[in-house]
Amino acid sequence: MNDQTKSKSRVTVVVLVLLVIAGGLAYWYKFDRDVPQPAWITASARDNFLYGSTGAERDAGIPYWIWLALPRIFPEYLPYPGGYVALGMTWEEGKEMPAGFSKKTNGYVRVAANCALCHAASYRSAPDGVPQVVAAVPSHTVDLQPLLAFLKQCAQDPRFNARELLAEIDTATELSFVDSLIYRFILIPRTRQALLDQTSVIVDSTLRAHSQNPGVPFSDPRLKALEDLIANLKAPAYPLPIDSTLASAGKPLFAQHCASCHAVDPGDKTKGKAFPLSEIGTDRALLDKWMTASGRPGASAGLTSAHQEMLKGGGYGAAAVAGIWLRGPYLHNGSVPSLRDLLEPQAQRRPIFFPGNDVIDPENLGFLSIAEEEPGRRKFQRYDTTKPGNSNAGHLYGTALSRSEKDALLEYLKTL
Amino acid sequence: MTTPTLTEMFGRLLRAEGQSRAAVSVEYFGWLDMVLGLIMFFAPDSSASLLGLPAGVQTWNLLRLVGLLVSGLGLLYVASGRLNSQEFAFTSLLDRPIVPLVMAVLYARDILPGPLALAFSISDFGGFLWTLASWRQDARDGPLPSRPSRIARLAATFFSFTSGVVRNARTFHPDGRVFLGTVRSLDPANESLARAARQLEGTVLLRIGMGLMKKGMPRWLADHIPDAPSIAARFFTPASPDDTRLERHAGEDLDLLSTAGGDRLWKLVLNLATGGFGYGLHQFDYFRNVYTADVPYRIGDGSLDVWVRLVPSLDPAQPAASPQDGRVREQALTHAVARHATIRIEAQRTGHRREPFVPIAEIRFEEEIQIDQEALHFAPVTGRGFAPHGFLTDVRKTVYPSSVHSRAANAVSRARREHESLGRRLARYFSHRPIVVIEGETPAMRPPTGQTEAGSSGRSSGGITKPVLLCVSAVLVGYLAVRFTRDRPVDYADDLLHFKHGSTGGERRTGIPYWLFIALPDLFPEYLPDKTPGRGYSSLGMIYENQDDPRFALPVGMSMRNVRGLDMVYLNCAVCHTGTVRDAPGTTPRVVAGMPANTFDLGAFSTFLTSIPLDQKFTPDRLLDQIRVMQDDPHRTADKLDVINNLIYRYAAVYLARERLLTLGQRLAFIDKKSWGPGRVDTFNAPKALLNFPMEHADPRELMGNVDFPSIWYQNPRKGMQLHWDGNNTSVDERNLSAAFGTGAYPPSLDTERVLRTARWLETAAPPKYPYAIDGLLAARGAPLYAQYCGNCHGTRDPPFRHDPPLANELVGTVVPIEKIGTDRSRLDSYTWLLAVNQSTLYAGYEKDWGFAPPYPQRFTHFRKTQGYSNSPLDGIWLRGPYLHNGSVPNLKELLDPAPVRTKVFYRGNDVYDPQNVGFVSNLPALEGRSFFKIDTEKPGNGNAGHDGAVYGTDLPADQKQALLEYLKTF
Repeated sequence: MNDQTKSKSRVTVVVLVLLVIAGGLAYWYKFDRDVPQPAWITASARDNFLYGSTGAERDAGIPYWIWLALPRIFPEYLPYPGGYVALGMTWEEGKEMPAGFSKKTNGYVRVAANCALCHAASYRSAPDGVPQVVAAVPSHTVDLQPLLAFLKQCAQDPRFNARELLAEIDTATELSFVDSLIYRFILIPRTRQALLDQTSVIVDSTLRAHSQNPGVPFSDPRLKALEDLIANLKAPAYPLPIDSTLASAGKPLFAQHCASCHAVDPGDKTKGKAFPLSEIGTDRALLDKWMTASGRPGASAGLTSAHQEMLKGGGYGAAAVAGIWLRGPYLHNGSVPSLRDLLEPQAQRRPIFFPGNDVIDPENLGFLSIAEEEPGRRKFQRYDTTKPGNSNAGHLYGTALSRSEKDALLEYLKTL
Repeated sequence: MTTPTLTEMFGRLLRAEGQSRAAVSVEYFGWLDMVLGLIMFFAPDSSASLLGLPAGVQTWNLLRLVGLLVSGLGLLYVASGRLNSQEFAFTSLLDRPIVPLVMAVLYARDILPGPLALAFSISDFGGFLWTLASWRQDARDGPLPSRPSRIARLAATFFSFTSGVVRNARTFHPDGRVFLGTVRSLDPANESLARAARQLEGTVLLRIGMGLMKKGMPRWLADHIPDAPSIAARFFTPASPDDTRLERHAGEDLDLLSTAGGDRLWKLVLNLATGGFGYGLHQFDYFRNVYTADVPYRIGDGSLDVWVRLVPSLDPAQPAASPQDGRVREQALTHAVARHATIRIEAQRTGHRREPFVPIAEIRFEEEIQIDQEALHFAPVTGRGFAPHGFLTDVRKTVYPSSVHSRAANAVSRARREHESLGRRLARYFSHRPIVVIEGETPAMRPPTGQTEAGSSGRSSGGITKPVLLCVSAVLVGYLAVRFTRDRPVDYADDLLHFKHGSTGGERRTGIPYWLFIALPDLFPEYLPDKTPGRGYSSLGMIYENQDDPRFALPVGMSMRNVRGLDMVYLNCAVCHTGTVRDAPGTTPRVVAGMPANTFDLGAFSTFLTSIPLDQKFTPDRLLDQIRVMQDDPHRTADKLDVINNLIYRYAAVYLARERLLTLGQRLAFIDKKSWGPGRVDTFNAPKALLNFPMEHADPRELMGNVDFPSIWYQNPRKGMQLHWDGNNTSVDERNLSAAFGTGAYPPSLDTERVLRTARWLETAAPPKYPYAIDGLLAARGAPLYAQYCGNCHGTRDPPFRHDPPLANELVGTVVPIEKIGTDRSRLDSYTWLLAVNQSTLYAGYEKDWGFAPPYPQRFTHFRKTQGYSNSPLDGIWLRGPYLHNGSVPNLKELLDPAPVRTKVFYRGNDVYDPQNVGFVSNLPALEGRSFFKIDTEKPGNGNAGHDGAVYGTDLPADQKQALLEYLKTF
């Protein structure tokens, strides 16, 4: 080989190496690069909980623009207007996405679920009011299944293709040429497959495992940090007017009839022990389930302290009542629609009701649950207390109080 | 010269061998003519419109005839070009330059239309120039070097890549053994064969081996892969006793390649693919096979065409069945050489399959020799009077040299390359791309020694053709690039004109082609309220200023932009926010920018646009006929469509517009646009359509949100106020961008700069003064009444509308709960929380937080569901009738009456002013042939209740109301 060819092949090698490096960099930038979420999210514990990333985007995130476009392309799979709200999500005005979705850039912008998808609730003071979102409480309106079902339906539709999706995305933003290629040839087909498989989409494996075994402590430092973050969040104050005279009349009644078992503050460890079912008489399905579960080898790892308490006591624990107005329906299985019903003997408790509404029922304390549907907004699940596991029996405490005493007690409970 | 047979001529026509450049140019010109002719013949209507000819059967038939003639001429050119007819090429040089002259005469005498004449002139004269230049080049540079076929080049690439990069060895027959032998003629009876056989006599170099590369494979596997042995023979006369002739001496030696397992290559491939048992293939015995040369040979003077095969003579001692063992095979070969075994060369005339193969010569093994096999190259080309031919030979002529070129030159070099990385091999491969232009003897047969004279031959051709063609195509490409990336709005120096006609960017994606837009009212007058063509969109209440011809001019509120070379039009802000006032019927209307578009029926306009695409007349043909008529009108205000745009209209723009309008209509279908009437719109059901909410499942109460267009003066003091009738947004910017969706300005298509220009202008734009008489004293008496009853909510008369110092309970620009104001609640209910939160996704991706830079536009964050209607300042209130958010009260005088007394049925859309009642004349159902829209306040959404009671001044005595009215005129 002469010098000329040598130098030529050397140039070729250098060019090839540079190309490989450039390709690697491009891959990192477009598919991997980690961009922190904006400060408004990370600055406050509440926003961090509602919109912060748990890191699920990397595995389970779906590309932001697909997430945005799906409800606009496939309204036929939504029961009502309102995009993701129609699937039971709750959404704060002015925010870009419903609570429980986090948006994060890992190369491209992705959306995934966070803790708030299941642990945020909303309430409305009146039917035409605007829902207020409360972080770190069990959601009584969200059901994950319709969301996943919707995403799957979209993916099964032949219109889930680059042409349709990019046409809709094109009404919302202008993707750069490179990004539109990435969407067309990589993200859209890949997302479709992920939505069809449903193994890791929106909710990642960590959160899925957590929902199966809530007792297992988080190993992910980010989730641990989030857990610590919300430890100090307080239940919001009751948003409607409270008759303070009436409430003060209820205070001694609470002390007399409730306080022996129920603490107010969840931090109060002097109370909250489990009572045997023979004593409280509520539905036994949950206890039986955990009794069976705990019999299996290695089951103890999945048990929370509450579960262990439950098994030890042979019944259910008496929970602290702070923010009780926000926690209807009541009893461990949500079988009693309002606190007023709870103060009635079983026969007078409503046997069939429709939970899932977030409009406060100030009269009975709980949420409205008589209507089957809120027109144009939501259809509610029918709760039949005669079905197995749904029994509304037991906890017959304070049922003998007079009407006015009950009113007073309820008014006092609003203040907690 | 003998006359060739017709069959031969057809063969020449098909093969088109040895064409000169001039012949090629003639052929291509012929193809062009043929295609053009066929287009004219099969699509006379399109051609007619393209050439600007009047439509009609006569035109079409004429064009068909012309097309037939042109394609016939094209056929002549093609055939002559392919036959390499010099005479024809020359004749065409005499004929074609005259065409422009003839065309000019025909055009001047009105026999041929201009575009057609021009097209023929250009194509014929261009073709003439091309042939002329090619002729001169032929004369200067000699014949065109022929190029191997595409398949040959492809195969060459494959083989050279495989053997140079993948394998570092021959692709097939990687290893073999080399022997020397002697050849003697067997003196066949046929004279030609005998001559040929004698030519073969002398020494022969034999390379015998298996076909496939099995290096590195375990033996059991190697022996099981079907394979065929082959013999490559080089017949030569040694220059010296130890001459082994590694390189073929061109014209002297003959390389004959033969392989067992099938007498044609495809049979061999099929045989191997199916296990390698057919055609008597013996993988483990060289001597039981018959080796066929896969290509036919012409012998001697070419009169004899034969297939050649090699038949080894069997060793009588050898057992019939050979073991399945490669080593045994090689041993047998060694033995055979030792006993000087022979191989017969046999021949059979091609096309005579039944004739026996005639033995013509015999090879005798002499000895096995050791040579550098990498330096040994075979070239299956003509030698010793044997001329291989046919497709495979053609391919081989290209493949063999390129494969040699990319392989190592000798065994040492091959061994060195063995340890090279893939990258290095690739680098070498690409820096010495094998030569593929080969004819017969070629420099590439030399082993690669660095640079070769690759490609240097074709480049020297001078002449002006190439530079001219390059320049022309560069200019053309540049022009098309500019044209099809064009995005140029019509701009106005004057702010007022910019407001009326400036672009918001909506034309970019939702635009309607200009000529289509202006053709529609004339082609579909039956969809217009007055069913009269020739009046543009004026019957829908759109405004044409300054005696503009409504057939061609754009009405106020329409903007124009050249998008990818097409003039597109669409709405802008002014369409809903510019109105007219007349003092009396018959007078000239005053056009007032910023006031509600009191005459414009947006619902009817959108119904018009979205229903005509369903009409059978909505076809490119009908529309283009109409457009052609309008283009010929001397009053036209825009450029005619050029040829390209004509094509685009015919084949794309009309369909695209249809598509866009139908989609728009589909999404807006759930909105009852017929209930709007002039000056009204259902504002917030439209974004639900934009977000494609499934409105069939919506709460029925939210489906009716009809409101008056508002005035849009004095936006500066409105910043921070609760904007829109229900006060759902406090950001003027967001309110503007939200409204801009109605003009087609979506996030990607928004023209930020021009929308901002309008927004800036509106910040201080002021309403015109009340033009009729005002009783100053009376008005002065009204001022304190205004302060007492109205000012708290509606602010002061003049900007900034807030009191200075502010009142304790300054309510201007805030929402009054619905229970208090008591007006019709449909509009309030039409705006839902569901919509509010989803609007927060609009302009997503434009937030600073996420690193998307520009501060404007920004993602919407200000939309809120409210529970009432907002107090707005009353600037220019005299122009803002009818009153209340839904326009349910015809004039200000009635607004001061208690609700039950207010007129229940009136008409809107009239722009004649009624100074008495302060508002527009509302009691006439029609005027000057134009009918107005009946408002029935009993109908849903039209309720005229509310804004009623002592605090609203409806209980005031008549004289105080009069004073208040007079004061309001001064706003």
